[in-house]
Order: sequence, then C-alpha cells, then structure tokens
Amino acid sequence: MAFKILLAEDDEVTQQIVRSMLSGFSDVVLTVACDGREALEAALTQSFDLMIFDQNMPHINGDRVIRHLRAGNSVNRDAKVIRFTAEAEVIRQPAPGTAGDIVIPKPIRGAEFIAVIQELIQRRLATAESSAV
Amino acid sequence: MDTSAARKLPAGVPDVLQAAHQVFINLTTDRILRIEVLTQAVHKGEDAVSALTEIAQIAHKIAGVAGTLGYPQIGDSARAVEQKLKADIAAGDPLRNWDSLSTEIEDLLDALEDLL
Amino acid sequence: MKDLRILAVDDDRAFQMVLQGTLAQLGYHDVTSVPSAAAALKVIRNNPQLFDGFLLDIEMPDVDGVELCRRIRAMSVYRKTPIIMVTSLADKQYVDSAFAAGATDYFTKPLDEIELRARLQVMRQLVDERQRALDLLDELKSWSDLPKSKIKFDAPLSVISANWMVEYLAMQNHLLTLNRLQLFGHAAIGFTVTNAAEAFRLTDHVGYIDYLANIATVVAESLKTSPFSMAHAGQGDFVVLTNRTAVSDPKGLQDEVRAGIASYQKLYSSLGLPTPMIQVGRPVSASIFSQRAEISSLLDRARMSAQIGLEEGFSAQKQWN
Repeated sequence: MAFKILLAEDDEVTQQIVRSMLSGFSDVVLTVACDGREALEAALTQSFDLMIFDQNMPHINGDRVIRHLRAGNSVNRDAKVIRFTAEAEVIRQPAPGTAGDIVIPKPIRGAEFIAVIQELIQRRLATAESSAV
Repeated sequence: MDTSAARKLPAGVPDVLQAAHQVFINLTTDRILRIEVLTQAVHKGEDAVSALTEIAQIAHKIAGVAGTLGYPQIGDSARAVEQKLKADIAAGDPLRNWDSLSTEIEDLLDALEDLL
Repeated sequence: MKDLRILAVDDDRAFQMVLQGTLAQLGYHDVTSVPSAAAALKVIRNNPQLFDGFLLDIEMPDVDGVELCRRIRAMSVYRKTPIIMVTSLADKQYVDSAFAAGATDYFTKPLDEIELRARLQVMRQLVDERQRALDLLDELKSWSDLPKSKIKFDAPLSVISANWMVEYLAMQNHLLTLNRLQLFGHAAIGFTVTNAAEAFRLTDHVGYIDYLANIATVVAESLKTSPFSMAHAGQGDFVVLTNRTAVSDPKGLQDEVRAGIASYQKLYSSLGLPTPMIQVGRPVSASIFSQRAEISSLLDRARMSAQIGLEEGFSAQKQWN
C-alpha cells in the first residue's frame, strides 16, 4: 500500500529537493501544496501517512493549519508531522501538543531526511503487519 | 566564464538533486534583480521596512536550500543577512546597520552571480 | 492598576515640566522626559523595559516628531503601542503626516487637562486591550489545551498580526483627526459575521481567534485595493477603512467574500463550526459638511449598515445594544 505524503511548502526549490529525495522510494506518493489554503484542502480531503509543513506559507501559516487539523475531526488529526524550520529556531523548547512532531532544520541534509522517511515507512509497515495478525 | 561548469552540481552533491539545482539557478537571476530593485528603493528613501522585509524573505529562501545544493557559504551569508535585517527591523532602527548590511548584500549578490 | 510607562519627547523644557506635573496630578508617575528624538531613541534602545505609550512633540529641531514616530513604529515591539502627537495649533497640517507615520492620536498645546486625561484614558484602554491580545498570543504559541483566559464576545481584539490590521479604537481616533477634505475621500465598509455568536459558543478562544483570522484574511484578499486598514470591532464585526472610490460594487465584493469563505467549507465541517455567513454593508462616508458627532459615529454606522445588508428590507439582525 502506498505511503502517502503531503508537503506544504511554497518554495519551489525545496519542493523539488523533497520530490527528488523521495524519488528513490518505491511506492511513495507525494502531494504538494503551495500554500496554507491548499494544504488544508488536501489534508481535509484525503488521509496521509505523513505531512511535512514549512512554517511560513501564504494565506494560512503552517501553525494555524496544524491547529485546525488537530482541533477538528479530520482524517489527518493524528497523522505524523515533520516541521521544517530554520536552524536557529530548533533550539527552542517544543511547544506543548507538538511533542510527537519531527523537526528538521533547513537546509535539509539529504542523508538525514531520507533516513527519517525510511524509518517512518518501516514503522507504518510494522503497524500494518501487527494489526493484520 | 565556463557556463557548462556553472551548471554542474558542486562536488559531493548527489546526482538526484540535479533538477532542484536547476530550479535554484533559474530562480537566482530574478532574485538578484529583485534584491537590486529593493536596495535601490531603500537608497532612494522609500519605505524601508517593507523593502528590507522582502529582502529578508528572499534571503530566507536562499538560506533554506543553498547548503543542500552544495553552496554552504552562500547559505550562511544569506542567513546572516536575513537575521541581521530582521533584528534591526524588530529591535531598533531598520536602517541602523544599513551601511555594512548593504555591502554584505552586495557580496551575496556577487556570489550568486558567480553561479550563473 | 498598573501605572502606564510613558516616554515624553519635547525640546521645550518648560512644557515638559508642565506636562510632567499634569500627568502626575492625573496619577501617571512613571513618565520619562527627553528633549530630542536622538535622546528618545537612545533611551528606548538602552531600556530593557518597554514603554506603554509615547507623547511626541511634532516640531523639534533635527529629527522631528513625525520622523521619530516612524522610527518607533518600525520597531516590531512598538508596532501597535499608542503614540500621541503633541502639536501647537499652527502645526495641524503635520498631524496628517504623523498619522501616515503611524500615530494613534494627538492633542494640542496649550495643555488642556481634560483633553489630556481623555487621551490617556484611550491610551490605557489600548494598552489593556493589547495586553489581553498578547496574553492570548502567548497561549497560541504555547498551544495550551486549557483556556487560561476567557475572551469576551464583544472584545475588539486584533485577530491577526497582519500589517493591515489595526485596533478598532485607533481607527476611530484616526478618523477624528482628519480634516474635512481627507474625510470626504474615505469610506468605511462593515463586514459582519451574522453567526459569529454560534461559533463563539462552540469553540474555545484559540479556535475562535483562528476562525476570525481566517475570515479577516479572506476579506483582505477580496479587497485588492490598497491602501486599506481593517479592525475587528467585536461580536464578529469587521470594519474596513479605505478610499471612497475603491468599493463601487459592494454586492460584487460580498459575492467574492462569500465565495472565498465557501472554499473553506471542509474546514468548518471538520471543526464542527457553522460556515461563517458574511454580510457586507453599503460603504459609509462623511459628507463634506459632517459634524464631529457624525464623524465619530462613522464606524458604528458602517457596522449597522452591514447588519442591515445590501438587500431591500432587513436581513438577519444580531443583538445590538
């Protein structure tokens, strides 16, 4: 079953970087949203295994989108979240309610990003197998 | 300038990032022009805060990807420009460090032009 | 009641002494007086504690009050702090450029104690409002599940930190300082969310602020005119102040705003909130002969116009006191 990822990111270069890094994985389907509004529309319409958010986005910023998704009864309420952030912000304490989120600073280090994706795919497979037993 | 070398990926960057590298190069020309227009506006005495905010936003985007694509120094310069601009806008006179900052921005633009 | 921390800037030492004395009589003891813009900027930069408000003389040598106002406004911590300009009657022409630079209000020399008291009361109201909004923003950053502070439905809180959003009180004060010709060039347009009370009941204060922030963004995007400023008046009412010529088709604007809101349909059903129903009012402007009372009620009339709506006769009305 395909591993579905939503990327909410307005920078074209980052979009292409993520797209390229994911190209090495078979059976990963990537949906790209260029702003907060599109991201919300996508996240309320279909379920994703993973959602990747950039902080600054036009229309609605990443934080408000995540708050909306968690406040409502959407299918992605409990989906795994990766937040892209600038290096300097990583040092701050994680905000309550975001403890499970993975923070990846930009510029993205290819090996680290791919390792995280690999781990998440493997975890999802393991969950599927154990619930099938 | 050897244009074929300019388009090649820097050493150590995986081939899979070729497409992203190209997108970055394509955007760089427009960004250089935009930053030049904005610095002109500041020199002319137009709304400094909005011009400087936009320069900071462009620098933020460059800083977010340059390291991944094999240009860590450009990334660091862009991040420094972004943070200094934001600090000046937020905590004091936005033009407080304009003299030294406009030189830093010039240097950043020169480094970006070398990529083209 | 916390003492307002005020910075007063004026090169006229005699006036400064009178001002400080009067402020003390009115109960404001935490006042710092400096004689120039340069001194003011130095004090601001060297002081870890923020000022609650500024009193700036317009006419000063070197850097004048208007330029100082601009520089203070450029600092993000002071983006919305009350700045009151002080001017002698002859300087009234500068008052408009002061407002363009971001001033909140003004009063004239010679010092009238009653007027000063009124201006400071406005300053206090603004400070209290902003403190509540700041507390909320802190909570938003900390994602607290338990609402630490309830907000009131009719609190005129700025719901989004965009540069076109202003405090409702500041918008009202700004209108009162315009001369007849300037006023004639402005129009106020009301936008009301007729079912805001329902959303307020159904969600917590973070959810309600996010709900209003989304609506404000849709309205701002539909306006496409610059410049404009928007204020939340409380009770889910917004007022936009813009050029008189900017909105010639309020019905078209209403359709566009409604379409924008409708595009968030899925969001509202996922949140269990009613889709906001927006009514736009007929633009309201002052006539060239307007009296002061008419000007000060301009924004209220814009709100009422929104509640009446654009169709003939009355549409759904909200509780209005």
